[in-house]
Amino acid sequence: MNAESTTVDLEQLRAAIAEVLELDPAEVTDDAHFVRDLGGDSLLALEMQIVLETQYGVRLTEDDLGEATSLRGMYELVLKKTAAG
Amino acid sequence: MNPDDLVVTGIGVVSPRGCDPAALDLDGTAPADDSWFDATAELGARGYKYVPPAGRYLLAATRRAVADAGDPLAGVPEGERGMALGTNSGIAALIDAMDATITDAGAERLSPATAPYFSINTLAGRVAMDHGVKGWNLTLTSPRTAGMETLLAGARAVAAGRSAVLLAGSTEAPLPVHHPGHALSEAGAAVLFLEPRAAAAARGATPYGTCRTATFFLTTAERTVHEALARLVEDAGAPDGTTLPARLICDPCPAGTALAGHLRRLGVPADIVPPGAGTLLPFLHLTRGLARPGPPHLVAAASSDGACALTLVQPLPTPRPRASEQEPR
Repeated sequence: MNAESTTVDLEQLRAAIAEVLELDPAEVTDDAHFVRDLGGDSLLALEMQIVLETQYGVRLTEDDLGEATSLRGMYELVLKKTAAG
Repeated sequence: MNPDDLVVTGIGVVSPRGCDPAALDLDGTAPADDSWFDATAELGARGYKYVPPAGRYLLAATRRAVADAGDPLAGVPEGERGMALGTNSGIAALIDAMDATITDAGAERLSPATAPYFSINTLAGRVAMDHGVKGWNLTLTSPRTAGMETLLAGARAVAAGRSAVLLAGSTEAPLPVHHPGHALSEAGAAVLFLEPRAAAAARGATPYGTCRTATFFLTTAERTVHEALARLVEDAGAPDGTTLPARLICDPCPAGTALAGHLRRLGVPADIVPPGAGTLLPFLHLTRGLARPGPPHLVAAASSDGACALTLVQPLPTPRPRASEQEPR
């Protein structure tokens, strides 16, 4: 998937987030909290922002990252952002 | 403090030329890709993804050196731990990649987790984070000679009371493909753990030996160079009628030729070894020399800009027991 694609596939998003967090995709369960459960931190949140912005062609804000704290939340956020164009 | 009061009690090497200091294959070139390095085995599965390759090599070599020394850091306050690192191309590829990102996509696309490593000092800084090195931390970048220069700078810092122990080493990662020095790229790291002889004895550690280093530029006055070299050669104490073995790592450049000439006039004919692109090969030569019992010998390096460094390596005359075999006191 690249910046020109607006399709959001949950498993591809899971793999991308797992890559950022240095985890196996299976560890990134739908509702695991990025910080509390998966060992993320503020630097990795910024890394995730850059990776997902590049991958999905969307703009994410710090507030977005503060609210989308799990795979499910991030999926819904990216879906909404891509749909809004 | 006498320079020989600082002894090497731990050696750590990770290199495509081998990881056993005594068995390093230092002839010819070595592959400078990353395939030889098992980051997970050396460092664990998580936590080092964003550390550049030269940083990972350095972390792994440091772990090995500290373990080889018998894990002495627990007995050394963090404020009394010092580190000196030599590198030339440790972050060259990273800087190139960051330049490309800025040019092609803009600075806002830089990886936040990797960006801190834009500074050459952060390689040793990352080691400081893992090993609590809070006394002092210095990165040297003189072409070819910086690895050996760490031994002189570090010994001075310990003598001045800035730290009780010293981690000194070299790390390199391959130069970018388009770089003129790419074919001679080096990869890997070597680190020595050094401490005062009395401290090593107090904890029952057997040293590998000592490293006494001299550095200068060959634009320096002839007499100064001669005196510095003569001191090293005399301190080697080669028996009458024998020649001090010497290995000089350098290009066929005027500085290398001049240094070889100086040594020859002192009765020390040096074997000339072609260099790599960075600081690692001379440091690997001296680590292998330390790890193999034998007579004192010189390891020298010179760069085309005139930087010269010589280390008198004085290993133990007989094999040293492994750290696990040494009796703690």
